[in-house]
Formats: sequence, structure tokens, C-alpha cells
Amino acid sequence: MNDQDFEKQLREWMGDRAQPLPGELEMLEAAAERMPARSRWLPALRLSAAVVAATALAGVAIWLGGELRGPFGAETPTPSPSSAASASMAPTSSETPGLAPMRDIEPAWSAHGQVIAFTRVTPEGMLNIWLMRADGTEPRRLTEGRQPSFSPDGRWIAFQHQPAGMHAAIFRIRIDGADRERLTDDSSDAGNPAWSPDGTTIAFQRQVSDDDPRILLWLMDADGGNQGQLSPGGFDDMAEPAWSLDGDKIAFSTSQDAVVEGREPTPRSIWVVSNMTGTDLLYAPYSQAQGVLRSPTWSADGQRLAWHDEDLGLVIDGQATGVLGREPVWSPAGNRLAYSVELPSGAMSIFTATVTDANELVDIVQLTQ
Amino acid sequence: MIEPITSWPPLSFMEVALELTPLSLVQAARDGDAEAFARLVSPELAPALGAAVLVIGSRADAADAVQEALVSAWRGLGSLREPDAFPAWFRRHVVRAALRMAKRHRPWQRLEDADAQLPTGNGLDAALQHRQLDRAFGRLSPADRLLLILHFHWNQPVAETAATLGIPAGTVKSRVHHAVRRLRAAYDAEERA
Repeated sequence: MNDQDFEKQLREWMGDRAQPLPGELEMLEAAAERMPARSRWLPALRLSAAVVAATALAGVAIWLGGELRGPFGAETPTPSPSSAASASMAPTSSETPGLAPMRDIEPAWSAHGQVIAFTRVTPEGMLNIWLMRADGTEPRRLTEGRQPSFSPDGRWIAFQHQPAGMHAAIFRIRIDGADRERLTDDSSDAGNPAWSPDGTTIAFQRQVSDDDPRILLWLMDADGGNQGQLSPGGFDDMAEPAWSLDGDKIAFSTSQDAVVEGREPTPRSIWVVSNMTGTDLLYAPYSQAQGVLRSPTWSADGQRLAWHDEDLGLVIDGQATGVLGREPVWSPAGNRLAYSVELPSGAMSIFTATVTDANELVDIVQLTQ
Repeated sequence: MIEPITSWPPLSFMEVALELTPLSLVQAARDGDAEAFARLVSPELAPALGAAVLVIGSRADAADAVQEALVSAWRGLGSLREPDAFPAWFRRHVVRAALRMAKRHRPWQRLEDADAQLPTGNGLDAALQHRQLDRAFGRLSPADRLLLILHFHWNQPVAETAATLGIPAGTVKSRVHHAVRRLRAAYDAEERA
């Protein structure tokens, strides 16, 4: 049988096997008519949720008290690496073709620290996820996308991708490039996926809707099922979720960057929430630090947090390291940190370094470019 | 709000009378009208069930998957921005639900009654080939099955298949090509067996 005949055979077989049996369609039609009512209570629920949120926001504002600063200079969305690492979920499409240098950003470790995934932004603004060994050897392109996060078993990468004409969404793909699939729907932008240490759950950030600019944290099963909001009250903008390795806590960066009209904007800060209920704000030791803080990441023992401070560079537990890196990620398997650095040329490169007990970075190695 | 359908003349007439375009049906369904929703999905149910059967390899599970898709589409109607795009949008719900069901590792079933009498004469060869395809298709991954169904059964354009599966349009044809080759290899193996 030649190929055409085989395909013809296949079409016929599909048509035959796809035929509904008597009663099947009627059963489904009846099911469609039995959808549970929702319109009557939904607006009321929305209203009460808004009241609760407003109340909670007022509470946070009072609690922060004098720490609230004056109007914070709006963060201009530039094609700079900081915007790439930021809560902004728009892809870096504003770049000038042909002028920007190659930028390697957004490193992510595999669970055993053997492999690093990262995003390579080409001069044309193409976003691709690459994999390489943790010593920088054997780099290879995996797929179109950005913001990679490894599954703990090392088989999958969750990432963000924006198909043409659609919202940015969370996808996953096997590290051999197979089974790429979309996990979030097209209702609003989603980004910054973070795989839970037990592999069952992916945390991500999502804009509430096209008409509601608030960004909140969501959880879903690793296959995209059971999507639900992680919603401690009082935040307009929760981004860059980072799990502690025991899976109990999620750190995130937040800002009231005036996404809600009339609210006093504040710098980005870092908070920690319990993922168990999603409503318990555990503690916020860095929420009142001076400066703009992003990209929180936990040490393997869960005792230390590192992050990027726009003024100070890499900071570990409140202590500046003197390294002007961004997007730190702590290896789940030890005491190394991967991060991106802007080179004098404007290119970006992935580095790793060892974190000492005194929160210093030593054994610094440049892996790309 | 649309009146209860029971009190109205036959549906084809109602469509004209109320100008029930997909737009107003979508709007009514969004407002909580399950009957409007049923009208919207009705033409999609046969292709949805057919595809689900072929992806999952079990009629019972396929019906469950379509019901899951109905519920998720009903809940997600608020996110549908282009009412005209309802069919494609609903099919994406079906595809997701079917894939999810297929990945629950139920054994692939032959889609034809094993006890069915084989026809005689001219139909025999085709029937035997179909039985061979029953087994060969079950050897493919759910993702491969889905790709082939979208391409050969739903006859979706490449761009739409790419959007449904969330893969680059440029890779659809080569993926289809490789999936067909895998199917052909399984088919030939069945023949030898």
C-alpha cells in the first residue's frame, strides 16, 4: 500500500470508528442542557470579593504605615534585562531588530544541579529556551519560549510562550523536545511558572483578565488541571513565585505599581506565603527593605532567600554580595547560585557561583556567550 | 433572557424569529442560559465525541471526556472573546479533556466489537485493514493520535492545528509526517504478526 492509499485508509477508518452509537449524542445534548446555573450568583460573588479585597488592601496600607514611599517612578518597560525578569509578562517584542546583542537570561536548575535551562533572546527578539550542562558545555536549543522551570524529576520544562495573536500562556515540554503542550487557556496572560518540589503542582502568575490588570498567583496540577488562585488578600501584583524545597512556602515579589488606578505605587518587595491554604501570609522580612526587589529564590535548606535588588545586585538574606547579577536561582542540590549578568557590550550571560556560609559568592564561572 | 424553549415553535423557526446568531447564543449562554449553550454545542458534539473516541480508545471514557469539556467550556465562556470562534474554542476544550483522559493510562480498546461478523466479498479486505488500524493506532502516543485526528479526521488547517496543540505552525507538517510513519510502522508490524 503506498502512502496515499494508507492515508485514505486511515481517513476511512477514522470516519468509521468516530461514528456515534445510537443514544450517545442525545446523552451529551442532555448533559449540555443540564449545566449548573451560574449567572445569578456570579455578579454578587464578584462584588463581595471586591469588597473583601479592598478591605484587605486598606489593612496592608495601614500596616505598612510610614514605610510607604512617595510615588515610585514608573518602571518604563524597556527591552532591558530587568524588564525581562520583571513581573511584566509581555514578551520583549519592543526590541529594535538588529541592534540588540544576544541575551541569555532566566536560568533554571534541574533538581540535581546537573543541567541549566535558560532563555536566549536573539538580536531579532526571538525567545528560545536552551539547555546546557551546569558547566556550560553542550548547549542546545529546546523550544520557542521563555521562563523555563524544571520538573523535579528532570523530565519536563514548564515555560511561558505567547503564540501569535494569543495571550502568553504556560506550556510544558519534555526535555527531549517531545510532547509540547499548552497548560493554561487563552483568557489572560500567564507567566513565570514554577514547578513544586514534589512535582505535582505548578505555580504561576496570571493577569486577572484583559480588563483587570491585577496579577495574582495561581496553582495548577502539573498537567494543567485543577487551576485555582492562591489568594492572600491585599495584593494587586504577585509575581515570580519561588517554592521552598519543602514545598511549604512560596516567596514572590510584589508591588503596587499603580496597576489599580488611584493607589499609591510602592517598590517591588518580597513576601512569603504558605502554599497550603494560600491565604496565610507567613512573614515578610523583606517587604520593607529599601529598593526594588525581584526574583526571590530559596536555598536548598530553606533557611536563606536570595533575590535581585535593582540598586545592589544579588542580595542574600539582606546582605549585598557585590555581584551585579540578576535573576538568581539557587541550585536545589547545593550551594551554587545561577544568575544572569549584563556584560559591558550589553549582551547578557549566565553565570554560576558558590554561596559561602557568610553569604559571599565565590568560584564565579561564566557559562555562556 | 430567552424564553424557555419548550414554549416556542421548532428551533429552525426560532432562529429566524429571534435572529439567534452564534453571537446572541454565546451571549445568552454567558448569561447562564444552558439551553442556548446546548444549541451552541449541538453541532460540535459528533465531531467532539468522534475525536475523543479515537484519542482515548474507549467509547465510555470518550463520552466522559466530552462531558468534562462541556463543563469546562460552560465555566470558561466568559473568557471567549470572539463569539464567532466558539466552535474552534470548544474543540480546544474537547482536545484538552480527551488528552487528559487518554493519559490516565487506560488500556487502548479496539474500537470495534471483536465478535462482529466480518463481511464477506469486497468488504472483507477493508474490514481486516480496519482491525489492523485499530491495533496500530492504539500503539501511538496520545499526542500522535490527536495530531493525526486533527489533521486527517477534522481536516483542520495547519495553523489551527498549531493553535490547538500550542505548537509552532512550521512543525505541524513534519510532525504529521513522522506520526504517519510511526503509525505505518505499527500497522506493518501488526500485519506481520
